[in-house]
Amino acid sequence: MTTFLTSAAHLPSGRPARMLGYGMTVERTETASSEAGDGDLLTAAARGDGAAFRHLLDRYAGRVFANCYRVLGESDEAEDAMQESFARLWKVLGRHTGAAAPDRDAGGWLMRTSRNLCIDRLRRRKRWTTDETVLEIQPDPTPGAEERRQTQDVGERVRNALNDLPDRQRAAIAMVHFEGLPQTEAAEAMGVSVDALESLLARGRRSLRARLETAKADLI
Amino acid sequence: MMTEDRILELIEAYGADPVRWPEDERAAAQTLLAASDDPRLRASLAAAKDLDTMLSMATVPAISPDARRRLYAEAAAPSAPIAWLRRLFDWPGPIWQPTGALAAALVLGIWVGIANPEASADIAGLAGGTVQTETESGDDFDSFVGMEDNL
Repeated sequence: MTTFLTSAAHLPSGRPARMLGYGMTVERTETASSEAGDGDLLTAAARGDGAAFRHLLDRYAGRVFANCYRVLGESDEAEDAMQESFARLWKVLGRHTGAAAPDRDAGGWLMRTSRNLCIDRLRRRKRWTTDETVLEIQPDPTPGAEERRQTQDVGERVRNALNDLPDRQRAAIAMVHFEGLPQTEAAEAMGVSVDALESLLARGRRSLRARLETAKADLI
Repeated sequence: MMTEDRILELIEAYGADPVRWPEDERAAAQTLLAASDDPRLRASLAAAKDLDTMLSMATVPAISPDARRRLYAEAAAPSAPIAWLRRLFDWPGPIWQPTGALAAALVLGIWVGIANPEASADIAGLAGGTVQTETESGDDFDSFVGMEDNL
């Protein structure tokens, strides 16, 4: 007997396909839509359905890129890391490697993978271990700097202050403050102890306060 | 045991929102914070709240059109042959399994043919004999049926 695994609402259009699910053969005449859950999209993508994979891109590319950007503080590298994260997902789904491929939570898998890729990239930078000696960030003293700050977009000013932090401090703030990772998970991802993570966070926040102090009245 | 100094450390590192504080210290810290009249805690909390507000305003640039194009191109092209093979075999497991089995059968066949031509000729002869046998078997079957009728 032919059974539809997912509701018709999730299958608006596409080419005929046969799927195996829960030990039974399932006829599927249409591809998964953007409303389908991660599990359906991953299953379809694992069978080479490019449309399903594009739905996953639509759903998570922005989030993965934002995460990479906050850790790396640089657009081009963040785009490369995002691209690599999705390429890895596409690859593990194509291989059908089981344990390595996500079965439901594509977002969680992508965030973890992109985070690790970003940390690897940071490690390759010479600055990764040198944040202890980096001077505290001071307000820019060059002529016209204050005027430029005044005209800069508020969000952009905060973004620039974050990007100017030493790599490890920025990565720690990205993971704990923005991504909301538990301390142990963030520390493990960075390869430091929880105490060291706390120290990086505290120093990063102090630097940001110093950098943004003059702008606080405009910002808040 | 939770102390006011430790709460100051938590605020310095994690900010004003207790959601970001370590889970195993959160409840104790919140309880002590609510009960304490230490002015250092109020000042630290206010400064941390300001910074949290500023951080929430931080923007992220848009993904460049070029990166977006590369990203979507990836979804269209690279595993198309794999997808085609999957549909061909309708194989839910690793694609190397059916492909490997076919390749192994092919290699075995070629090897038997090349390595042992006499055996190949015998096999071919057997195949021819089979046709005859089938015909004979048919006769045998008719006579067997006839015998059965006679019983």
